[in-house]
Amino acid sequence: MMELAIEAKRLVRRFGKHLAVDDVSFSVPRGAIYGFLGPNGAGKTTTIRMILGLIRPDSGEVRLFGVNVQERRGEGLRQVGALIEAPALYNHLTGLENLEVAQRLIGGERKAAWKTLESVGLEREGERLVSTYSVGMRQRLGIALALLGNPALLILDEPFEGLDPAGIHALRELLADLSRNRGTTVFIATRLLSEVERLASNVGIMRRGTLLFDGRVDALKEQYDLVLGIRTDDPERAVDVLKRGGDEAFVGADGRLLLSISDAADAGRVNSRLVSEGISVVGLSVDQPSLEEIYLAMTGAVLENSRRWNE
Amino acid sequence: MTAVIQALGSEAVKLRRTAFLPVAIIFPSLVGTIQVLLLLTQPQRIGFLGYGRFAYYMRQSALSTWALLLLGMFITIEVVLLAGVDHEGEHWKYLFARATPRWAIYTAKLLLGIGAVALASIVLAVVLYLTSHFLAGSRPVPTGYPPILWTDLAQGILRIFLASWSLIALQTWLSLRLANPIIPASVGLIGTAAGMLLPLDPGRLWVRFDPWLMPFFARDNELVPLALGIGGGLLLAALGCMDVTRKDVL
Repeated sequence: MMELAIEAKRLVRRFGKHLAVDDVSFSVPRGAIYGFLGPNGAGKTTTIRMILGLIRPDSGEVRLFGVNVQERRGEGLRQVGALIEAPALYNHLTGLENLEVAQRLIGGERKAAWKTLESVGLEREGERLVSTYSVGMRQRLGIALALLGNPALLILDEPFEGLDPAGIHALRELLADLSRNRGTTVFIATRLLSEVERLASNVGIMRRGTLLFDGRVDALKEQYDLVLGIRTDDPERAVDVLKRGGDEAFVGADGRLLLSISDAADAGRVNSRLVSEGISVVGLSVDQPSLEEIYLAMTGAVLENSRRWNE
Repeated sequence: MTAVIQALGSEAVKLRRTAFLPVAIIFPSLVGTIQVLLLLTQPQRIGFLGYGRFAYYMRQSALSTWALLLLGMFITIEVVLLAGVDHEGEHWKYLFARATPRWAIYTAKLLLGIGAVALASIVLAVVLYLTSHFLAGSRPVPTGYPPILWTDLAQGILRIFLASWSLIALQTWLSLRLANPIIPASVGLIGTAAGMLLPLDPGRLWVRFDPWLMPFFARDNELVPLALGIGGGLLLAALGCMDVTRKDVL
C-alpha cells in the first residue's frame, strides 16, 4: 500500500456564514511533489492552515505520515517544514540569527543553520541584518527556515513569490533534488502553473472551497483532448473547409489553426483534407493541453479560445 | 521541560538588539535617582526624620516608588515588547506550525517576563543599597545616620517581586492575545494610574485584590497580597496557556 505524507479527509471549515473549505479530501504520496492550485479565495491557504494545525477543521481530519494532526499535533508536525504566504522574519536580526531562532526551537546543531543558508545561496549574506534584504533574499531565507531540520515534508505556499528568474530556477532545482535524492515530499501552492507543470507529479485543483481534482498530472491531462495546431497559407479558408467536414477549428492568437482531436492519427486525416482543397500546410503539431489551459478551463477562468477546444 | 528550555533559547535570540535588557536596568536605576534627587533637593526632610528613621524612610519611599509607580509600567513595557517581537510580521503562524507545543512557547514568554522583573529587582537592590550608602555619607544626611540594611531591603524587594506575578501573568496574556499593543499598554498605564489613587484608603481589603497594588501592599509583611500575587499569577498563567493553545492562528 502506498505510504501517504498527507491525507486530508472530508475537511470542512466555515468562517461565520462563509464556507471556506467544503468537504475536501486528498492524499499526497510520500516523496511526491504535489501542486496545490486554485484561484484567490479558493480555500488553499485555509486548507494549508488546517494541515499545519494552525486552525481546526469544523469536521474532517488531517493525517501527516499517518498521525492525526488534531490529536497529536507535535508528533504530526515533527517532520514538517513550512513557508506560509510571505516569510515572517525578524528584521532586527541577521539572516543567520533568524535561522538560529528556529534552530533553537527544534533543537539540533548550529552548523545546520549555516548549511541551510548555503542551500539557498545566502551564505554571504548570513551576517547581514534582514532589514537590509531584498524581497527575493527574504523569500530565500523563508525557504531556508522551512528547510531547517531536513523535514520529510515541505509545505510551501507561494514559494516562488518575489524570486527573480535565476532564483526560480534555483528553487525548482532544489525542490526537484530534495524530492529525487532525499525522498522529501513537497506540497506547493502557487500561481506559477508552469513551475507546477515542470515539477509536480500530482496536483490538486480547488475552486470556491471544493476540490475539483486530486491525482497525477498525466491522469488529469488524459481527461482532455489533444490540440492539433496547423500553419497554413490561408487560415480563414481552412476553417471553412474543416467546418464543412464537421471539424470545429479556430484561428489562435499566434495565427495557427487550432482544433481538438481525440487521437493523434486524426492529424493525417485533417492534413489530407486541407491539401486536397488546395490549401498549403506549412507546419503541423499535436500537443497535449498544458496544465495552465486545463486549470483555466476547470476553475472557470477560461478564455474563450481555451473553452472552444475543451468543449 | 526540554521544549520550554528550547523555546527559552529561541526567545533569547529574538531579544538581541532590543530594549529588553536596557529597560530592565534603566527602570530600577530610576528609583535610586529619584531618591537621590528627593533627598538632595529637600534636605529639610532628613532633619525632620531624625536618627534611625533615615534608613526606614528611604526603604519605604524607594520601594513604594518602585511598587506603585514604576513596576507596573516596567512590566507593561517588557511584556508588550516580548509579544510585539512576534506580533510584528505575523510570526505566530510559523511558531505554531512547528512541533514545539504552544504552551511551551507561552511559558517561555512568561518566564522571560518574570525573569525581567527578577533582574530588575536585583538591579534595584544593588542601586538602593549603593544609593543609601552614598546618601548616608553625603552632606544633607547628618554624620552617623545608618544606611539601609541589605537584608531588610532584599526581603522587601523579594516580596514585591513575588507579589507581581499576577500582574506579569495578566499583562503577558493580554499582550500575547491581542496583536494591537495599544490595548495591553493602555491597560498597564491605566492600572498603574488607578493603583496610585486607590491605596489612599489602604484600610479596605478589596484593594489588595488589585494586581497593580499587590506588590505595594506586599512590600512589608502583608501575607494576603503576597499569596494573591503568587496564586493569581499561577492561575492566570494556566488560563492564558490554555487560551493560546486553543486559539486559531489565522
